[in-house]
Amino acid sequence: MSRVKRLSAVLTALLVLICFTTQPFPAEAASMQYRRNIRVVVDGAEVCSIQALDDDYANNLYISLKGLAIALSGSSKAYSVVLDGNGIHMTTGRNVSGTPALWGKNALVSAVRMNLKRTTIFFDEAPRRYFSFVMDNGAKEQDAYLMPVQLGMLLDMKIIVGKDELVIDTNTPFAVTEEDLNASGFAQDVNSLLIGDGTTGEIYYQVDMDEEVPIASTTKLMTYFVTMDAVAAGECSLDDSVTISVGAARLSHGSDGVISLSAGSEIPLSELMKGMLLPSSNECALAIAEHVAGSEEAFVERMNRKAKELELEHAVFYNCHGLPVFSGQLFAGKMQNHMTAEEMFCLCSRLLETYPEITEITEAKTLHMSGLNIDLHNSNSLLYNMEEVKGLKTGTTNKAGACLVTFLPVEKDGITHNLFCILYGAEGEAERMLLSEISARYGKQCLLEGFHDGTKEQEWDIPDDPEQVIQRIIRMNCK
Amino acid sequence: MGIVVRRKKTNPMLWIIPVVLLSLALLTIIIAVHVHAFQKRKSPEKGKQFVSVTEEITAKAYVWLEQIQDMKLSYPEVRDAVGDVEIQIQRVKKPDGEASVEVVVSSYEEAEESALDSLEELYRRVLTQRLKEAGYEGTCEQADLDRMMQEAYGVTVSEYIEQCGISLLPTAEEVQRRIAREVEYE
Repeated sequence: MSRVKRLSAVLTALLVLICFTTQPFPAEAASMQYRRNIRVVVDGAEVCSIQALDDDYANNLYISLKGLAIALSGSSKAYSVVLDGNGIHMTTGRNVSGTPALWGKNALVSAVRMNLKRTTIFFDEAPRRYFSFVMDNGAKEQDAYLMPVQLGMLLDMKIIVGKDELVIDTNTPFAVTEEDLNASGFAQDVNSLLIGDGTTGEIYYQVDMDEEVPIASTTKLMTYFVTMDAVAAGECSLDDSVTISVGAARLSHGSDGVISLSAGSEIPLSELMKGMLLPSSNECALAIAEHVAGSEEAFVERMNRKAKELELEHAVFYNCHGLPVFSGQLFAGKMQNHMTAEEMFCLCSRLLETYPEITEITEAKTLHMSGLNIDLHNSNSLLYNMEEVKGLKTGTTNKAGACLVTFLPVEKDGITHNLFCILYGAEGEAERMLLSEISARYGKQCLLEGFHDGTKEQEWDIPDDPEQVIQRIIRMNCK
Repeated sequence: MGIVVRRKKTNPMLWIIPVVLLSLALLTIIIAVHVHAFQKRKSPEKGKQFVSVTEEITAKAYVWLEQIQDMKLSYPEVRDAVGDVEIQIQRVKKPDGEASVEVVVSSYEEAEESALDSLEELYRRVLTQRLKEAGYEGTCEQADLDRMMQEAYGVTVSEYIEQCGISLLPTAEEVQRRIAREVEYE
């Protein structure tokens, strides 16, 4: 080959290499943000206009944090905001002077492409987790854009979203009514949602709660339940040293691996439980199952038996962790553990009645896994936004979508009520967090204030079947 | 010379009195027969008529309680708890001269209340039994059970029984129809 040809070949190869290594492969496709300005009315008076974004679709509204700070200046909800490398710092009780930056003509007729980011907002120094857009606001400074409902929850104030305006009442606390939820089509595009009181069995809101849905890693709640039953029966102990199998080690090194495990190593069962529940380690779940029942197959049989015992007639388990499985047939079908949201509600109610100590793990934002000397981080970001949330479990697969089982104990008249929000099939983590937080606040409100729609007293739904009445009374009074 | 026969004058009271007595005896017998034939409508209280609804209440209460798992009450126990429940009826003469039988409303309401009270007592017994079996270690006095029901459903046990929708008595119309049929076949 002549020198020129050799050089051409090398240059071509280099060019191809450069193209492949520098081509951006975003984890998820960025959406388009359409910019507009909206009026802000605070306590009945029009104050100013601020920047806003519609994310991909009209009315998918995000508003300027800095602009709102100026709009609320002088009110009881005034705050200052600073963006730095650590995150966003909001400090309440501080007025901000000036005129909010507005989008210019060019910005109004064009769009930007940004990714929604998980942002830590230090709200009076307490970290909160919200998804937001952070971008140049056209005035050569960075600004953050959040959804009005997120700001309503953060600042605890009433916000009404109009066509081109925000109406804010700083004197009225943030509240959710059933009417608002129904009118806004809340959670209509998820697989299923249930908000209920596990202590009384009362359901406050639901969307398709009796539809069978894939449950992804929320499966691990059943894995925990069956394991603790075995511990209670004396078949094993949380202090047992579990030998990691080849299968568990291989899983840990695959694409679904969370915690790296070595075959033959020994880890206490209690530590594996932390790994399973906090960062949702599939390999820890598998190691637990193999230790308790001898094999995953035998453990899964126990899970299905437990489901039958709890009368969860739609629940089917294929494995102990919630990952998809293939049938191994000629026409290999992909299957996933499934049940209904209502059944998960029943499962969780019984789980918390029987083994309330699960929250010692699930309420922790971080735990140290001494067996491997690593820190485990909770995949449930809602723990940051509502202190009263004590768990329970996230779940994600392509088919199941983003799932979250939320638990918060709420005290009323000296009785602790176990409130649950079961969410399956949100589009992504952003939607999962938002819907779960709104659901948790709504459920708590229903329980404490005794109404659903804000206008009438809660009507008790007394079952026709006297057996159901007795069962609820027994659940509430017998441990 | 003629024979003068003097007829002894008889005292009329001597034959009137026996006749009257005989008539009275006959009347008494007739009345006794009449009373005996319609004995079930007689009450200790003279002049009032009652219909027993004990069996209907017992049957309906038992069927309702049977919906509860592990319900250990027997049919005779339920009947004992229900006791004797009767509904008073009265004969009413209509302006056109026809007589009809009607249920005394106050009596019907009393019977209904008595039936619900009985069912409430039975339900409390069953609830106590189930709580104890489930390991409840507290007391199950009336106030305790009311508190539990209040916490679960916002009502007392008594209110729950009233609202639970069970109809223990036949309706007043059904009672009237039953009486009317019995009158027809007298």
